[in-house]
Amino acid sequence: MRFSRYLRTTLHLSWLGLKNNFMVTFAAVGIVGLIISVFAVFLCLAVNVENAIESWKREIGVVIYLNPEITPEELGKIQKMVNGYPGVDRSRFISPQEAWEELSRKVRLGPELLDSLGDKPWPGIIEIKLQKPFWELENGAALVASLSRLPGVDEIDYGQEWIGRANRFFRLVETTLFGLCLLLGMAAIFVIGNTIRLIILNRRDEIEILNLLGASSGFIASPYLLEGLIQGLGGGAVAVILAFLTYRFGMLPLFQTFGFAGDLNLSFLSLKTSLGIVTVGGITGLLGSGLSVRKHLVL
Amino acid sequence: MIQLYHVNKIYSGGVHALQDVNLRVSKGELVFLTGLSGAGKTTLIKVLMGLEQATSGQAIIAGINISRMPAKKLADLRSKIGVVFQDFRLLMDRTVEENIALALDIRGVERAEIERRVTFILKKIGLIHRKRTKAIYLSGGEQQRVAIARATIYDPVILLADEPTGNLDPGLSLEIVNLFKEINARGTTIVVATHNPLLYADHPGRVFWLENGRIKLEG
Repeated sequence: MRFSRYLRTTLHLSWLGLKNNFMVTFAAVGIVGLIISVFAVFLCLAVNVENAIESWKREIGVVIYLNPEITPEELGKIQKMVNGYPGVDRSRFISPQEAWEELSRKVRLGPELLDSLGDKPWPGIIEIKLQKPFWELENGAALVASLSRLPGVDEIDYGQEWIGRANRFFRLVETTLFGLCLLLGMAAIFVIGNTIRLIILNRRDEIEILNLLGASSGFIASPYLLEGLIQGLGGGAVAVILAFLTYRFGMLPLFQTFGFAGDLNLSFLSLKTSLGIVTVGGITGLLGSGLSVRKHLVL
Repeated sequence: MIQLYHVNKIYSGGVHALQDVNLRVSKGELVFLTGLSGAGKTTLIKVLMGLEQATSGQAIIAGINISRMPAKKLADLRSKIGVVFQDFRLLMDRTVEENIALALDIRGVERAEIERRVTFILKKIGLIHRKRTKAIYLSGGEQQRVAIARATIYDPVILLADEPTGNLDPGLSLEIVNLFKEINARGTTIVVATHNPLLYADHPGRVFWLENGRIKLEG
């Protein structure tokens, strides 16, 4: 049989199979969609938590309190040296005057409280943001130790202990969420494969008839494989839609209610990940269908 | 067209279903296999279809020795044979037209040609008005006629029928036999296994009587 004719016949028989088993097909796509959507929602949550942790870490910084008596020339030299350190992403000098204004603005101190701070001179500050590898405690601490040896540095604020604890907590959250995603993903693959396998099992009479009519194994298998692929792809697409609806009307309002949404910069799964989910659905459907058909091919 | 030499079939439980069966059916012949239930008729038909492999002996069907043929290669044999069963084996959720067309779809026939041949055969068996009816809504006789149409639409060289009238009343049974005679008249070799004497009562050709897996009489 010519390939184009073979393809047309396969499409025709698949169409008949899907049409005549519409309710079963509908149920299969629904089940597959629901199962993958649970995985997709968790993946969306995990990706957002991961992003939030990363954006929080990006804000980890080092504050250098300078000796109030350093000259502008000395300050220039220190700034140059700081910027030359490996691990320093960017730095900003805040003069005592700017620091005072910022403190007044942020804390809204009353005049009597401001007076009570006395005439003690304020130090100038250099705020440093770190590059990604230095968000980790070990690297950050080593950089801080080096910076503290610079001339004109009075004190350094890094929050070593707190960062260490936060990092351990974040690692635990990430591991738990991605572990759950992995488990859900495996469960989804197992259930999809079996759902489609059972659907094909239900049509074993059809396979036997095709065998009796003299169809080759490849010819018999093709429409079922295509149907499995379509059901899997359909389920994957339904899952992405369900997950998006859950994100849009569940996750987002929930985070907004608690005032996190803006800070966390929530987003849905990327197009690449969404297509990946649909593809995995399709491949699993194909495999489930293939295993089932293979069992009934040879009489 | 069909040659069996000393064919034995022993099932795994030790049941000797066929014992030293020798049979020759010539091209264009119509023969009946008959006997009581459990005589071995269905096993013999299954061996001819390649659904069961003979434990020993040789089975040559349409020039193909199927005795030791791997199951995967049997598709070649089945493409030359038409099969009809007692339970019709139709796809009940498909229309009459779709059921019959399936046999041509498998053989890669163009859609327009399929349409033409299905219409032709449906007119022949008097079911053109049921073309788009799902098989499940047909009567037993209609279902069997559709099964025969499906088994013969690709002009097989051999037609094998296992108790084709087992689920039909006497009137319909004769209708089916007449249909077989018409097909046979066009040159198709036909083997019908049946326990219904009505089918072969006035048959001028050969009838084989099976008993305990052996051919006892040939008449």
